[in-house]
Amino acid sequence: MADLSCDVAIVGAGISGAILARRLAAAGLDVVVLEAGEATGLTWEGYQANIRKFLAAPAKVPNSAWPNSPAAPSPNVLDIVALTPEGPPGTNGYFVQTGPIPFGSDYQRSRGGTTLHWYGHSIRMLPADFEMHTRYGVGVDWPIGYDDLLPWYEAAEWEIGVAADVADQERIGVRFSPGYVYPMHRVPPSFLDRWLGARLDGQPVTIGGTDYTTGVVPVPGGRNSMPNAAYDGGRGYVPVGAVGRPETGLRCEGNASCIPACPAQAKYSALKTLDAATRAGARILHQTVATKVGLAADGTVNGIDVLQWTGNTFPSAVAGTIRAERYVLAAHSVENAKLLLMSGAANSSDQVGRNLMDHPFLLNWALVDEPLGTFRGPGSTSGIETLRDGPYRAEHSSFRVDIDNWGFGILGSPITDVSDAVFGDGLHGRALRDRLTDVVPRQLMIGFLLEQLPDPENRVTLSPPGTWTDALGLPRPVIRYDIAAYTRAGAAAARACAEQWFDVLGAEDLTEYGSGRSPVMHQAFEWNGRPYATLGAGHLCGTHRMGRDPSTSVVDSEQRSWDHRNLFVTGAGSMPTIGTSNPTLTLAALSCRTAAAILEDLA
Amino acid sequence: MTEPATTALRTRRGHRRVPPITDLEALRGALQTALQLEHATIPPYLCALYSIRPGRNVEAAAVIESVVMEEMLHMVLVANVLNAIGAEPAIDRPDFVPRYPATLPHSDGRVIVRLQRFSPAAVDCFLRIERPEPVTAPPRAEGYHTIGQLYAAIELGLQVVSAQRQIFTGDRERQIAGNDRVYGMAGGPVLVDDLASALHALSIVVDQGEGIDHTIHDGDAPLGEPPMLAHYYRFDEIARERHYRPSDTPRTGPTGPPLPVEYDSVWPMRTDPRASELPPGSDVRGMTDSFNAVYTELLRQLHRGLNGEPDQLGTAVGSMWALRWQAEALLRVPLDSTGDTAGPTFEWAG
Amino acid sequence: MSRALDDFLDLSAALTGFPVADLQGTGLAQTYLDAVTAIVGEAFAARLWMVGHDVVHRAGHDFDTEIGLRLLDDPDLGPPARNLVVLWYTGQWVQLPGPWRDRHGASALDVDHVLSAESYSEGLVWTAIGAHPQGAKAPGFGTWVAPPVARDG
Repeated sequence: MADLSCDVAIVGAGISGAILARRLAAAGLDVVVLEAGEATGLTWEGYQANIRKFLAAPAKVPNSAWPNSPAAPSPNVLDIVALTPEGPPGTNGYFVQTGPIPFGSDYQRSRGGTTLHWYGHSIRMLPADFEMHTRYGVGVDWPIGYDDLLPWYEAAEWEIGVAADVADQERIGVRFSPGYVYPMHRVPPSFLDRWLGARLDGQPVTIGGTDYTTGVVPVPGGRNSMPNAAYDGGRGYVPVGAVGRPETGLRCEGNASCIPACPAQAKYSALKTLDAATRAGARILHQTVATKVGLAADGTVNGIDVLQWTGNTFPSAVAGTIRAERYVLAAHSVENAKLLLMSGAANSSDQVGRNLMDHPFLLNWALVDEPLGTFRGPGSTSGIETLRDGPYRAEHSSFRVDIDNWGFGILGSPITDVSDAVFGDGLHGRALRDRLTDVVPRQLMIGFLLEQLPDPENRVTLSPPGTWTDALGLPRPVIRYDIAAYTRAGAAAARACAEQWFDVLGAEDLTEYGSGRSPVMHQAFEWNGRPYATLGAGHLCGTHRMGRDPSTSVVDSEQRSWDHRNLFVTGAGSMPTIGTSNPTLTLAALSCRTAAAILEDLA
Repeated sequence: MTEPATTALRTRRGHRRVPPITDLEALRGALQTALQLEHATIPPYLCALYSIRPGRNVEAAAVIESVVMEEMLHMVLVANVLNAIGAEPAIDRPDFVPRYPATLPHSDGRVIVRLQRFSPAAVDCFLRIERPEPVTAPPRAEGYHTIGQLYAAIELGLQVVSAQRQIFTGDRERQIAGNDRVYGMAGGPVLVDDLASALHALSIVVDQGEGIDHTIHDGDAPLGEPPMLAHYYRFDEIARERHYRPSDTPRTGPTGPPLPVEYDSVWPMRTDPRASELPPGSDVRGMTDSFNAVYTELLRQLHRGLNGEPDQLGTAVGSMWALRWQAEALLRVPLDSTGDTAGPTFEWAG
Repeated sequence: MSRALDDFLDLSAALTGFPVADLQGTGLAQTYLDAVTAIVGEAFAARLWMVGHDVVHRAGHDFDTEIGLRLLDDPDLGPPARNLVVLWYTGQWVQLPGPWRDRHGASALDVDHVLSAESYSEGLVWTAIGAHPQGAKAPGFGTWVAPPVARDG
């Protein structure tokens, strides 16, 4: 390929790269985005082909709708295998996993990135989440506080189009600018939310001997709802519909498939922002894998080497170099770390690839005695949000709790209910039908997102030369991962909460860890002699953390590399701690903030 | 959008004739006729749309769907005018529903609309429904031939009657305004509180159907997109299996790229089905009765939604989706050895 | 309609607990008949439909018991019959058990798979649980607020 020059080169066409591209291009800069994966979802028809792929997929895992390219492979949860302490690494698929606990999350490498299959939760972090060290003596503080990020949260809520009610969030300690409203009213809470709210909201729940209040609270969603006429000082908000078919997807249609894909594109994906970025003049190069960040003698970045590939089974590639005034790595936590490690760049702190965090997701499931209307609506419209912060954070992780509208779907329902009834219990005919009608709508699933603290030993490294490579010959990421006592104790506390709530509900608790009940809970561990099992939440954070001190962090609070001042490294990898919210909104806010910093820098 | 005429007593097409509507009761009656007319076109369009097999006739299906969405907007616009003049749109009653094959309400009876599969006959029927008003056609509220004649009569009537007295006395809260509850189509509902806004609302209905000023366009041009075709010309694209270009005219016909149509890729729905023709107690009768129960419930929701309970329009959205899936199932059920399949009958189930 | 399709639908109705019209309403009856026939072979399929016809039309009120005895508990007919139930409910074919494959010759088509996007969307399980297939047949904005209705009679 021919070499290119531009003002700003951005690696990665996910939400972070898309927001930066749009904002910088709109300001008149010449922006080039390098996307390793394929261009999918450029048109309505192209997007629908992905939907049909997922509908026909035997295992409807997050990546099942989307391209997997040997030249830009994505990790897939189907590749995860159990690991033994002395055993060989897990080398299925893209990641090389050395354990001791398998890393449980995936991400997507193609246009739109992992927002193609995100849940849509667009939740601000709590003010306390930025100050874990100061308040609780664990983890680290962020170099910025909630108030620094507040205006950028507002910007991100516009970029994504967030539906929520301010009063709900104020109830759990989120602060807003005076008079602020979200772009859209909250997505209507499900029948299940109201059913659960009537029974649990305000109920005491004991954690470590102290009573706390259970709060069932609607969750801000990046999905189209009724626009709020009071938004933007009364100018209102116009929902953004599907790419290539803007009259579609103006409201959530309740397809109940947010993961792996929203068929209507009512749920936000970065495809929308990329579309706007393109209209603003940004150029997006697909199937273009960044292989090296080039460094000049003065320590600045002087180019990004790429391989532009064609052919899916046996890809061939041509090399090129992109030169720019400013460079942004927005390729995802693992990919940013991988590229920096491959380049020997930005790592004077030795923190690149370290401190990998996720929210281990602890499922609890039970049957209640009346139908809840499962498998209707977005995956989750409310959570139990009042336990995200508390003094127990000095001892163990806190948690936000997803109330799941899809019954035991994450365990394979209702397909597994059918096969269990037919092959296991020998049912057929009316008895089979009646069993399903009776049981599935009574399934109650709640999942706890547990915090992990930054641990330098939870890390991404490169596979050694001559070992595991992708189809372009690039090293595959090696993941060393464990779940520490802080989080294990949090799992135990979470489990105790679930047991109390199931008691109040009179629910039949079916939760069982380590029984082989589900192939999805790969992360088995013990705490105080009891078994637990979690799965990944897809919230990969921490691999190029921001900080005040160049010796302990990779980037500053503007996500600018301490080592190379014309390089920015953006995304959830910059988050020093993972906090108690799903990280997309926060990384989007950080991206908006960095766009402003780059504009000021180039002004 | 063209400026509505507000001063001269004339239609936008320049008629200077004895107005057929001269009193408020007749005006309300004609608007109720328009409401029924807008609704009467929807079941035939939906039959054609839902009879198309999954993934086939993609462009034709998108055309029909876009027209249906705008017909629903038209119902809202006409209801707003009715509410503005203190009348109550009447939807929740058996005689609101045509018995297909049907003539258009209060028309000259020359256009017969049927419930039938996507076919050349169906497309021809749609063209007859949406046919532009010839320059010479007089406004008529009774015995009209084109829909444009009916609306021309209403436009004249509005001018005449509002000149006699204040007729815009209705409670504004009963109208649907903004894009909150009605979305997914070009343009949105217009709040009606005087003659100008009433004429504007009705001009949207007529322009989206037959085009403005004898062009192929409907006056809507979403930002950065080509101008929208009026319904007649959208259907004409299907009939002639070719796209219009923006510069085309009614005289040139479509000169753009081909629009492929496969009339074979369709469930072979029996034309104008009726529940009463299906054996009582049969499964397919049960499915049909169930469809009609939801359809009737939908009409009741629309009635309440357009009579002061706008939240009901939100509920109606769920009924519309449910109807679609029920209709699609019916369309796959063979009736007998002819291979004809059942289909939605769109009957009032009171 | 062919005789085989008639027999297939009658048996399928008895096996699934859904009326024939509901099965026809999926638009997939012929597809499923063809798929099962291709996997188990024409001769075996003919036997399956024949026994099915016999059970459904002659057994009278206790045909559920007859289906159990003569079909589902039969070591030859049982596995494909159970697979047919799962196919109608989920749109997925599950590979037949090893012993069955050994006795009857394994077809290359006998692998775990979802037949098509439509077969998944038309799975009867979604009707049975009062929902809609995840990713298809959307119910519309805000419908999830309403209490669940026992749509399945």
